[in-house]
Amino acid sequence: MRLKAGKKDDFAEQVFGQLDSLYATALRITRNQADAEDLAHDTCLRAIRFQEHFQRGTNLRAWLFRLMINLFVHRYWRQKRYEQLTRSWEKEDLRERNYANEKLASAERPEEFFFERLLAPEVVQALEELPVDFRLVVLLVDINEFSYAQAAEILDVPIGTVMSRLYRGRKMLRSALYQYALENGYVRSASQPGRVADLEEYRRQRESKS
Amino acid sequence: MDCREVEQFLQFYLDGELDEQDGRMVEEHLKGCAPCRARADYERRFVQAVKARVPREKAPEGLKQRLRQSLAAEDASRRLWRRLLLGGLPAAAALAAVIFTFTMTSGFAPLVEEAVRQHSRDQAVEINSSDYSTVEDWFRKRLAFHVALPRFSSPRVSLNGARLSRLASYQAAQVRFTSGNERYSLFVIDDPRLEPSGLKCRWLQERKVCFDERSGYTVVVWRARGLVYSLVGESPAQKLIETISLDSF
Repeated sequence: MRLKAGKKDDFAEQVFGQLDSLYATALRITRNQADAEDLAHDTCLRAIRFQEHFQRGTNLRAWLFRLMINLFVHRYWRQKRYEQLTRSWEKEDLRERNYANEKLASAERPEEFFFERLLAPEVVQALEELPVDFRLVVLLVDINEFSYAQAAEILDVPIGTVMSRLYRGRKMLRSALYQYALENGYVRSASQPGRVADLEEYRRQRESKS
Repeated sequence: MDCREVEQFLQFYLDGELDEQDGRMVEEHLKGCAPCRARADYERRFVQAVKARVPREKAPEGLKQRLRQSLAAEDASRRLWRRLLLGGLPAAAALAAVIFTFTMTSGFAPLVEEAVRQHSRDQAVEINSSDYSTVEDWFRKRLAFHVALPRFSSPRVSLNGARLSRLASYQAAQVRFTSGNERYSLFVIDDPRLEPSGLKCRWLQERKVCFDERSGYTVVVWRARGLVYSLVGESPAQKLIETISLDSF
């Protein structure tokens, strides 16, 4: 005897509809396909199992992402937390220095949008190398287009934390990408001798305009 | 609004998080300030560039299949459990938690097969006693481990002797029980690490109980006191579990 499709089937279908989005984000979070598949699979399974906990009328996508982040934190991150933190400290100094360089470079040539010369794999790598706290916020707001409030709900942090992590996360990302661009000749370093004359010229031009 | 203020609010403005009034103020400033406009442009294009370059992978087909299978398995198990519950389990109301899981490996299956084989051979008992302590004492002299017998609180179940046995490489205690017309064999082996994998399992009273049905026999497996207990019977799982009353474990 087959029962007619009810609310449960509708819900499952809706969850299935978000599987791509969940998987793509899981890939960036776990950084390997097997873990990403497991994370996405288990998130959907839990969602359907505990569908009574979902308040109809609220944002299903945000709820699913919240489940996924919770699962991730419990399963993967708590164990690797120390490892992650240590790695992020090492990179911190480098990033601060790069940010200073990049500011200088962009002041010289504000029309040089170096990041538009980068390729997808390079950006993905830089993103995946961000410490998890910052990576999550960038993923939620910039990639998945959640609002600050939604991201705060998903991560269970104050909205101010989302704002500051987003700000710093983007800076760190840009800094890492700038470093990459320098190393691979996409841009030339601000400290190269040939630059000095150009900088003087640029300043002269700017002053004469204002 | 001056440049410094705009710089502070720029991120919120670009992310669409400012209210109408503040947003308009920033816009007004940007209209008349080229450096701030250039800065806003730079920041906006950066986020756009990152977004455009992070791929949106689709879930692999295998993942979708796996999820569908998991959901179907969940559904089936829920229906089966409901059937068993409605079938009149006397202890149903007292069950603390029910979690239904399917395990994928088949490491325990040979032991189940052996238990069924031994039970069906119906060999003679080596000690003919219906007293639990007597039987436990008898095993104490013959086996390396202490055989602790579960006490079936159902009055219909009576102990009918025991014998030494083997399940694969394990020395085993085989204990006979009868309940009306039904005959049961309880096998007890000693292995603190052996898990009844490959069987369907559920939680009864905070203990994981697994079962298998083959060749017309049902085997119910559980762990207690570092030992593995396998009860073989002829009735279906539902009835067999019924027979194992609350105090059994």
